[in-house]
Amino acid sequence: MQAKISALKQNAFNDIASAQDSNALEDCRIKWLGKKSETSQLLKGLKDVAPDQRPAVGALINDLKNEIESTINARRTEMEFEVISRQLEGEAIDVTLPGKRQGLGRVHPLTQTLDAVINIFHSLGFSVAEGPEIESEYYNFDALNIPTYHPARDMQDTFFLENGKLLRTHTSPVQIRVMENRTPPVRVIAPGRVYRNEAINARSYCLFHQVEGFYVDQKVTFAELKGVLGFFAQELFGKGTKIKLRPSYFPFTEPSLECDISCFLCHGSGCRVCKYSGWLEILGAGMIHPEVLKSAHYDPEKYQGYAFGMGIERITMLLYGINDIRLFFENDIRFLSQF
Amino acid sequence: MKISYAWLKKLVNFSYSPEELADYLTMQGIEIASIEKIGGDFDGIVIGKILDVKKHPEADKLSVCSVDVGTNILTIVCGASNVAQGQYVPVALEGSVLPGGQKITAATLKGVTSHGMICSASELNLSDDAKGIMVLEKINPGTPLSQIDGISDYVMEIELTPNRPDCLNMAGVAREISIRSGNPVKYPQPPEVKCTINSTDTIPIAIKNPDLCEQYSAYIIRNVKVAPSPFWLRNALEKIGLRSINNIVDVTNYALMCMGHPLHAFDLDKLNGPEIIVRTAKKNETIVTIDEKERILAEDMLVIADSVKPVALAGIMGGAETAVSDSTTNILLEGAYFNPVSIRKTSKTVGLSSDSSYRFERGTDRAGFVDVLTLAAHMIADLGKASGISTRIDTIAKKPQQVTISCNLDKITSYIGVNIPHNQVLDIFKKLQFSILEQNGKDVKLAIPSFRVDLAIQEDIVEELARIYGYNNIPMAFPGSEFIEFELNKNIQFARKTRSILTGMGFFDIITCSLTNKKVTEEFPSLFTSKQHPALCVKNPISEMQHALQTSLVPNMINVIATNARHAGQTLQFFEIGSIFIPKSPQEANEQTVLCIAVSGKAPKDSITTTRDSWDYFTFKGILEDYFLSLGLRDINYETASIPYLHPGRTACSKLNNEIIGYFGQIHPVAARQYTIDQNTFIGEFLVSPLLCNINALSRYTPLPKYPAVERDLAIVVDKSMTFQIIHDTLTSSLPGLLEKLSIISIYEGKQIPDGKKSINFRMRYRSVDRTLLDDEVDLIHNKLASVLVNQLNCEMR
Repeated sequence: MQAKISALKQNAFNDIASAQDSNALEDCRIKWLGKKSETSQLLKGLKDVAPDQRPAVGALINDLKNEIESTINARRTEMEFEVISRQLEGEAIDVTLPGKRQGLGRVHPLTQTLDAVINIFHSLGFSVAEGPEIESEYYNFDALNIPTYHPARDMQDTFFLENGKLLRTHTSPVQIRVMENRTPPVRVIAPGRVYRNEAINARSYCLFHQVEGFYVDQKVTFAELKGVLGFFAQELFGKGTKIKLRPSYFPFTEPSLECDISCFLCHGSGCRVCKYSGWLEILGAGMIHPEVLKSAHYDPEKYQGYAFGMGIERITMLLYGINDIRLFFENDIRFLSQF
Repeated sequence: MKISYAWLKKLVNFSYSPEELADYLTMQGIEIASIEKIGGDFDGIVIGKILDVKKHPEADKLSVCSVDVGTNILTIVCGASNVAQGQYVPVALEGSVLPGGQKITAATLKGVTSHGMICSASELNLSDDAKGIMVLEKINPGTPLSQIDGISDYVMEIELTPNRPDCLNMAGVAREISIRSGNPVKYPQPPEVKCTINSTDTIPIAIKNPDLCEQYSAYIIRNVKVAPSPFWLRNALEKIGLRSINNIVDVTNYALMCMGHPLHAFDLDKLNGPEIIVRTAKKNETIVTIDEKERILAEDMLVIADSVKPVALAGIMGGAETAVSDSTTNILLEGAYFNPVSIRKTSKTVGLSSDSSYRFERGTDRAGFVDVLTLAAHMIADLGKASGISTRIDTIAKKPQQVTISCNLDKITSYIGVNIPHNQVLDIFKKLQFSILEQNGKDVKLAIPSFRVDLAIQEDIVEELARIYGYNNIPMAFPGSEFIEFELNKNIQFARKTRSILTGMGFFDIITCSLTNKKVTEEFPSLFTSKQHPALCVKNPISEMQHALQTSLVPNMINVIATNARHAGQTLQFFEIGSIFIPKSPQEANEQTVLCIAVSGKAPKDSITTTRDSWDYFTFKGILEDYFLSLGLRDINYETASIPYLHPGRTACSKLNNEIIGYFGQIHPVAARQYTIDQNTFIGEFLVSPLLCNINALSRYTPLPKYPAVERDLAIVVDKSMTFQIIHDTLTSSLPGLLEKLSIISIYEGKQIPDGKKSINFRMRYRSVDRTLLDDEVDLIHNKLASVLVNQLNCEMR
């Protein structure tokens, strides 16, 4: 009996393995597991087996049935996979073709710099304030210690408006406006658009963006200004950036300075960008002039502070190696996409 | 201003190279912008004396000179028109090399061999003067040019801030060097004159406006011979960019450039009176200034007048009639102190700025100028071989005041934030020539030298101390104050959010110029005012293109699209956040921040990998809806609107709380054609202030629905003009709460629908937050909504 079973099994397996499609496989199933199959015949013949051997033989036949069934199932899965595989083969694509991009927009490079500058000073505890672009002579000049016939008025070419006002030449008027409304301590930056009545060329445009910053309290020192500028330079231009301060003059600060940073391209060894000096001029600053504090009704005997201002176009041009300021305002996608 | 390194060396001892000097001065606040080497080593270039000049036999413009160069006499062909017998000139010998690299060899010019070259100043890299050969003065022939004092030099460009007029001259810069080197300044002294000194030779001088002119001093110099200046003086002035005129004018320029005080020389014989009256101009008075221009004077302008009329615009420019000429013999040399504001005002009004006004308006040395006058008068007497010189004639309307500043040593060092020992502070004061008038512990009262017109208050002393101590020797400290509340303002937060969302949707952030052509503001008036006024304009524009303040960001946006469409083509998406200036009245404008947003593009045909179809209204509106939602604005309504440059049937306004916050739509084909845009373009402009009202709002959690929703469809036929917004508002207001969502499945016009009507299929989703809705209940609600539409909006059910 056992020999019969194993012969039958071998035949069945050979049959299953040679089935080429699902119909042939179904025929196999009927042939080997159907009612008229040899396996069923074996079961029917069980009654002729001696009763004491019947359970063992019965188990053998059951095993045989199960084995054939699972082999057929395995073969079926295999066949289905072959079918899917053939189908997928036909669906093959050139995976190296470019993707269908939704396309991201870009933030304007000036905005990126402006945001970076705002973030650095915000992290130092500066608030952000804004002011109008149309200003009065008072806020743009007089309150900043630049009286009418002061030579310093020549330092900035001004657009005057038909109504007697002007387009602000710097963001410093915001300093006065903020101080008028708050009592010290105040620590504020004022980003914004400013105007200069200059011919448009690669180096100058009729408007640009500035960030003004100031801090007034009872014991604010020049050394602290230096610390803040040093931190700013390292944050924006990279660790290891050094600053150098040169005495300068602005009517609204005393002492006044101009701040250079070590060239971030050549690290001070001299290159075309820094004109072989190793240094790049990036901002002006100083201790707020007592007359300016007085304009805001702060008592200069009690309060002192510093202020600084920088041009965002200049810094952006340095950062990215842009040599024509007009590119910022032309908004050519081929330019904007680079940042 | 240009300064000469060799000249500085004569004024003060120092051992710094030109580069070191430039660095030191810059770090002391006297910025040196550039250094230019002039001259060269001049190997093989010597002084020659021209013994004889003959015309070249073959060429009219050439001369054949025999030149004594010490060792022998050379034949040299020269093309300069100013060549003359007896001149001492620089000669480049055969084999020498000019600073420009030109090698000199014997050359035959039209048959005559020239053994060397007589040089111009330009060929020697000494000045730009290439008009003729350089003429020196009597020096032994054969002397190397390099041995002549001050011939090779470094000329530095100095960029002074307006507060430092004291350094607008060589002596002032020398003072700054002396602070560092510790060596005293050697000011030039008046030469001893050989002529008679006549203390009775005088002229009446009256000052009518003591506030505008505190002192007027003069010298009379008799029988002067106006002649070319000696070589050293010409050389000194030409190096720093001044033209040599004659010995009188050159001396006044020398005094100006060396000592910083403007002087003026009159031809005494041409002064009526002769007398000098310092007064303001009379009504309708005029003067012809040295530049031969007639100037009309106003009554607040200070003039120098003789007994009849103005002879000089005080401190700015002299008159042509009384100017020194070749025939002048007697001279009145003026030195005065004028009020800086008055000079600046007149200079601005007349539109005339000179080296003189530039210095007077910044402030001159009130007490020290008389020494400059004395120096110049004696130099003129000396160089002009005068027969007599007067003593100084002084008219003083106001005495000079000693400026004093009181300061506290602790206060000034703590202001800087560094502990500078007091003896070091006092030492710096001494170097700056501040003398201590009183000292009471840490309180000192300083006398400020009269040349430092910029110092008035304690903070000025702080700056002086800091710059001499060295800005770079001050340590870096960090703020250690109490906590101050700080925030980013809403505009910044709005801009950041907008940028992150819109760039994520493919938009480019642009920045355009807020000044524009006036015509553009007329074509694109502000959308946000009911009453239009002309745009506010700049009074002094450089060009018509930057004349008016923009009233809308739309025209710039259209321009950017047009420019980019030309080369980028395809799909374009831009936005700008910027200011517009809404005219409120003919003289006033209201500054508003707005957002302008636009899409433009054709359906791409030439690529298999582009996803976008041609832009349409609803895609653009969908972007806006997503964007508004991201700002926390859920209740924005839309209405049909009309904007001249937008498509009349595809323009909408957006409303928030019943206020218009912006407009958008398809650009009108006529406007598109005007800007040569040939692709579908949609544009919108929105006020920022209403958009940022929810910028900080925190979302509150709504529990997820627990009960099932039920959906029902509804088909209606309605007038074609009926907007979705009206149907939507009618339905949602009739059934607040249970109608969770209303969507449109289809809109149909045409067969089976009467003309002028459209059919809309809606799908309603109903849900209750507290129970499962039963079918009967939903039917009831749904029918109720249907009857609302029938009754209120005159719809028909299908």
